[in-house]
Amino acid sequence: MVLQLGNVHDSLDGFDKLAGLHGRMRGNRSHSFKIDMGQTDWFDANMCAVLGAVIHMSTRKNGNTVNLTNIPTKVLDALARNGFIQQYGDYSNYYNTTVAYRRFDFKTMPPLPGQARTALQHPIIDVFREHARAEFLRNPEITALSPPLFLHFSRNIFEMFDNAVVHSETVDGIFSCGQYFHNKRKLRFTIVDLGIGIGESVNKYFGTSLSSERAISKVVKGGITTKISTYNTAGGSGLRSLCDFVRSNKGDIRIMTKDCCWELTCNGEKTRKVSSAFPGTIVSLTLNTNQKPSDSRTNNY
Amino acid sequence: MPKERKVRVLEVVGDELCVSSSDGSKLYDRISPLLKDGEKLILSFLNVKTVTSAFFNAGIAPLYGEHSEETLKAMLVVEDLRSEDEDLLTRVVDNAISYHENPDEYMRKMKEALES
Repeated sequence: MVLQLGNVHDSLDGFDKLAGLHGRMRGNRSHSFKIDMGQTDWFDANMCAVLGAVIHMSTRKNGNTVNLTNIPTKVLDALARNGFIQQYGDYSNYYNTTVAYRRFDFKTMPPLPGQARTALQHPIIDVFREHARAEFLRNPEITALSPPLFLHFSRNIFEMFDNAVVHSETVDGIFSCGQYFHNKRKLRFTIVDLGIGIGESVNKYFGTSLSSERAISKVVKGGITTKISTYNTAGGSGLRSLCDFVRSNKGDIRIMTKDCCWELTCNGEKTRKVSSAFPGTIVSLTLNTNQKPSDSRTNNY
Repeated sequence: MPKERKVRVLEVVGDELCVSSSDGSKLYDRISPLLKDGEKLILSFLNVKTVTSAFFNAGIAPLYGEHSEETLKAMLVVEDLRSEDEDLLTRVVDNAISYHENPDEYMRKMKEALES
């Protein structure tokens, strides 16, 4: 079966389009799908994390075969820079403007020496930590940030990853990808899980029956946590802090969880219910890296 | 006088990026038994470059379910923490105190806020 894929931007429409792609493959087992990108003039590189999760769902979970075809040179170039397309063929990686596409797998990561694998000891974080060091924290674009921005940036990417690991209940790993826009002085970073979604996580814990839309609107305001059962204490400030940071940075954050898209931009908040649900949660962050001039202090990682 | 011990977070976690719930659990596993034994702890964040709320939530907040606020004030001293990180720790601790004062009430209020 051939599935057409048009332009994919880091936007609610882009989220919706990839959730729709998942919807068209969902329910099929052992099928062969070709994703035809002949009409794709633009594909935001960080959205590879989402496309990777959709393909993973179809191939690993449902036993389908998925190939990407008719990729225009410009798009192929974007998909090759972060190492994404190399998962599907032999392409060279010749630029350094992206944050590498990566799937962090629970199953293939051995426990640390002397540690049993438990819910509280995810060696996956050690792999992500090294990835973040290599892709962000030692990148000249990031080390040149003002120290407060650097601090908030590094704190928040780890909060995003930890939230995906702890709350999603996924066993399919975490997908991430990003991109630097040198001229615009922006950085995009996306984390995707194939877990239960924010709504179900909240409902399961509190015995409520909130829609994804309602659950996300409450969670981004802070003070709602489902970590109590795990750590016997209250959390719930991670996502609110992330939103506060995005506001102060005049950046953007977009979240898609199951059938709900939510975004915070300089134009305010917007929520949209979509017809084709995404099988997990996407969090995509865009930051302005020139918000404050760099000072003499170096961020040495 | 209680025995005093310095605990270096960098050594416990094994990394200057103390950023996950699992990192926090390592800290909790290290300091909780010491506090139960009545030791006074100096928790040094020297050379720790990044901390997150997830780290504090798993590493420090659960202690407020085991000891009173007054005991922890006297027995757990935090040093070498940057002011931005102190703000984060204060927020986590305030939240933990509210929760452990009355967990049922805390949960009831949270459910009420969700359904309002």
